[in-house]
Amino acid sequence: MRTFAVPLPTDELLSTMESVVGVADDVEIAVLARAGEYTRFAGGAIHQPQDITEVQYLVRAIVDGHACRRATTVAARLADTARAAAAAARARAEAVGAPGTADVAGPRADARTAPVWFDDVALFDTGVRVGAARDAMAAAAAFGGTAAGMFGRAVTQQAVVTSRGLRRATVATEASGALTVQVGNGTAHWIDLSRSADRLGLGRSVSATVEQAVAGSG
Amino acid sequence: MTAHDWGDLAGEAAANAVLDTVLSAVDGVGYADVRLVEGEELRTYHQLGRDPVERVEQTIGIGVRVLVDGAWGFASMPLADSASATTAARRAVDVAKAGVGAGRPVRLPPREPASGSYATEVRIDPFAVPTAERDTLLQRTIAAARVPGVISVQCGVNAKRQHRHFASTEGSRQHQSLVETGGMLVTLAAGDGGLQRRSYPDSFHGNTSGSGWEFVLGLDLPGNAPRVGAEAAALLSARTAPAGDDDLMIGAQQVSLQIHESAGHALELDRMLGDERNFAGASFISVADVGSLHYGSPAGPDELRIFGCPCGKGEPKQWGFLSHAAAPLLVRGVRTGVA
Repeated sequence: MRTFAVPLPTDELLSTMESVVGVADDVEIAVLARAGEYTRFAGGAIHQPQDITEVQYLVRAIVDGHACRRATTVAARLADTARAAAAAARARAEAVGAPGTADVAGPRADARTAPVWFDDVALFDTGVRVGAARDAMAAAAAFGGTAAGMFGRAVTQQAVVTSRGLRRATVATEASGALTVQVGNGTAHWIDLSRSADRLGLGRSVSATVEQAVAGSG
Repeated sequence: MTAHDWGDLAGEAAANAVLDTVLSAVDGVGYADVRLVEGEELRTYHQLGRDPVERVEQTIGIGVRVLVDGAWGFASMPLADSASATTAARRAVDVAKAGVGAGRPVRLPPREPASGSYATEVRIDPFAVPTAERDTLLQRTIAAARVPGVISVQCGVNAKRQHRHFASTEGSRQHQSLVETGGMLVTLAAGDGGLQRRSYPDSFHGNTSGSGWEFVLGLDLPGNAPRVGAEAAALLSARTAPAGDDDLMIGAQQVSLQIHESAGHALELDRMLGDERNFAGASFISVADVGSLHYGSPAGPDELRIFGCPCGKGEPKQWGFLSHAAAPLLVRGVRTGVA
């Protein structure tokens, strides 16, 4: 089974970003990466199990106060992307012929934030989610009903580097669940999103949703 | 040099090498398909009193879908290096194996492979239009929309180009190079304590077409700008519609939105089958209703016909192939009041 890991190694990522911040008067590189796994089920089957990794490197280059943005999904293209952003900003500055007002951020003191990484999400893997989906469908079927929903987890990674010395990166876990149970005329919905898989209370939430649908059918 | 000569996946040969790598890596599964998409999107916006905003986003990625012992698996990721293809294939198989036996097994009906290539007909490559020409068009539009009462004007143009490649274990192999181009204008008017908005050619960021820069020129944003601004200002003093029963005439843009919401979504097969019950929603139409459900008011017109056909040159949206479907595809949504 797949290892639960950060999409891009943080130190390597920051070094790559810092290597291209000199292409214009000022440059801001922002990276958003997300590795998400989703177990979607409906009609008595797991119909859309997904493992999706998304990455975007966004470059904002500034020349004489005029900004242009270019983005790419792969690190190998980052240098070319940065140069293209700088060339576009330079062309816009020349076309306007007067200084603009665009700027980038400098270093800032770390703000106090709540924890965003929870190890319990590593245990909420595909096998566990498949079992939970099977249990939810069986619980609804026991009352002659149906269950449709999604159980998922993700790691989200953000990093920002600017030519003014800002250098920050963070990674966060995410666990989510959504369920629609229909028993006769009764329908119940549940949805939750948390940094921690344990805080979803998945078993209790599924049971409660089935009970509510049964109560509403009556 | 054409509008489709760009990027790493422009040629069928480069794409076929990756497609073959994936199909080899998933050898032995019940079914598999792989999609490669390389895209580039350009957006330029001008707004009254603000610096222009220009953004170009490039993407390149791979998606692999497999069926293992009746269980689906899917994985997608950026096509970052030569290992991405096999990594995506392995992850898709792992996902599928984890789901074997967890629900009703999927059995695909036999289908004939559909192969070929398709390219959007483009007269003027929107990515070859100089920045200065785009800026001039948008600046003229803003100036023309500044009629009395108008306090804000935003306009923009966008262009998107993609190489889409598809292959399946059924033998389908499809190569498409697509271009879409669009434009938009929004005006805000204020007065007498009120604020009104008018847009062109549609709301939701205007409109786009499966064609080149000629579509933007055809919109004539500067020529329509005075009318759009004047209509926003006129709404400030427009009377409120009287209460009561009466006939209502709605414009073409609203009719298309009505069809989209009331007929289009209702006829989406994944809604009809219940697959989207927990997310996008279900439908009042079931598969058993097809061919017998009377759609619309009994007092309405005898014949209501709705067709969707993204298969012809010059259509607002056009593709040679839709996902794994054989092409061209004609969608017959509603005819003679029966869904």
